[in-house]
Amino acid sequence: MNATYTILEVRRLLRDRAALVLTAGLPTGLFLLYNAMWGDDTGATTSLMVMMGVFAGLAATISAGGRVSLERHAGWTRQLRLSPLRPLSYALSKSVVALVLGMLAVTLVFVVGLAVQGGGADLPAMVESLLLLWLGSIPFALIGVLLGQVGSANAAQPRGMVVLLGSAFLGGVFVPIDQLPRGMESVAQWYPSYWLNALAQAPFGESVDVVRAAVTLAAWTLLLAGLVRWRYGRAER
Amino acid sequence: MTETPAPHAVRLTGLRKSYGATVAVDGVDLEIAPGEIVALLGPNGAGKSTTVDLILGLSRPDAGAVAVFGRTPREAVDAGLVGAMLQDGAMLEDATVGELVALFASVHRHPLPVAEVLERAGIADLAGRRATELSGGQTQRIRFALALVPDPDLVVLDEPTVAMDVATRREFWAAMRRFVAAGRTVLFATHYLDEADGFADRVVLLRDGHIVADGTPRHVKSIVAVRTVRATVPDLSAAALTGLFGTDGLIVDGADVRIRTADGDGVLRTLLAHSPAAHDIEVTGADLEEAFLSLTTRTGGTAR
Repeated sequence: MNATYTILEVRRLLRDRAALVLTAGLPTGLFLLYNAMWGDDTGATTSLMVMMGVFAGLAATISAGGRVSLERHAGWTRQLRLSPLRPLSYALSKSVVALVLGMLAVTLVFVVGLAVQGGGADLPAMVESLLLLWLGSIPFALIGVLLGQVGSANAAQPRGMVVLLGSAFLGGVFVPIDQLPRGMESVAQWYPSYWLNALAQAPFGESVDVVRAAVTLAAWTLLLAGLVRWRYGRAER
Repeated sequence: MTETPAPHAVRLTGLRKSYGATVAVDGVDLEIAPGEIVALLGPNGAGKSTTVDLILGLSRPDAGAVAVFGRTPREAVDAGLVGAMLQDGAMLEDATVGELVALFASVHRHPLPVAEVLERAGIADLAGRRATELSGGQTQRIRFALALVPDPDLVVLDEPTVAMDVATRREFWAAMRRFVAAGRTVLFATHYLDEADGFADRVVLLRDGHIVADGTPRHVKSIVAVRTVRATVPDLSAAALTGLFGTDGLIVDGADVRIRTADGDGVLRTLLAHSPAAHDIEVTGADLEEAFLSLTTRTGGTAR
């Protein structure tokens, strides 16, 4: 990975105010809306905060892949191929940037969540949950970048949306995990967003199969990293 | 460079590339010696851009081989031997010109200093500007700057001046002249005969994916410099005109006569000698497309 490129990418991310506000702001806005409707006590507010934190991590990282697709079709990656920078290095920088955006979005939800809860907040649990959300978003950053390398630029947006909604659904963002239909939950247990949610709820007293969560997330991360490597390695030849 | 110099800056052998049913490059053999300045001249769709892409390793040939300083295109790019300027290489949004040049400098092993690159490309004043907010001509100069970053021995340019106005174009070629003064190799694709004539010391003429001529600008110009002589000729019959100029390239419409020829001077002399009443005489140079039309009838010899 090239440090100059990664830093430049992060700087560009911070310059694109409109996208930043939309990507990072939407989950926080939804959190405030849901909290106004259902957040009758600290427990409910915490649950909503974690749910929207999961959504923030998913949405920001997956949507970052759309940028890869746009840059590929605009010809920037073609320009890059006239330099010694490897497509794989490009993909890594892009994954890091997607993750940074995801971390920003999640953090914003939690900061607002803290402000809403005031003195009732369990600060150590929040910090732990936030860190787990950061870590657990890694596979989705890879999914975003992988999506950016396949198919046409026109389809990048809807493609990302389908993956995001699927991931959000399986991650209990729209319907709490324990209220998913029975068959659905057993499917969801093989998908990383399910465990992302489960891990993020755990610091607040929910029980979680930590080993299975870690194994599932790690396995997906390795699998996706392998796919990114294969897909971008092919672009190199 | 410490290694012994390869005999050819660029060597293409039996190069072929098709996109679906379209054959873009159809058997191109070309050798460019270090220090040569070669124009790849041809109308749109002749296969210039495809040839450039193949030389740069941006696409892979269906058949044949590409060697750049005796290496594969990828190796040559990695070693900083090649700098290239594409027609369509996009700029990164929300990044400044200075940042882009610094980025390219960070990935090359022996880059020129960023300030020097900006200076050489004549865009020092644009360093702080966003790369996507500039005019087409300015963007071309950023691409040129990016090509200069590794201080390459070979520069490949695909239609470099296409978005430039006349003044910018002149400045650009002046910058190129300074660049090649150090004995570097340049290959540029263009559809402007004037540019090929003015800058290259060798012109390779490409049509339908073939090389149809290869030689000095003077030689190639004599092949493609078609003139059209127009005049109002009230005192010669169509039959008399055919007798003087033949039927090839002759159009007679009442007193209006149009003659397409490679020898404009000769036609003019003949016309004036035989038609004292000829008036409204006009001699125009044909553009490259027209010139190529006239070439279709005599593509037999590939002269060098």
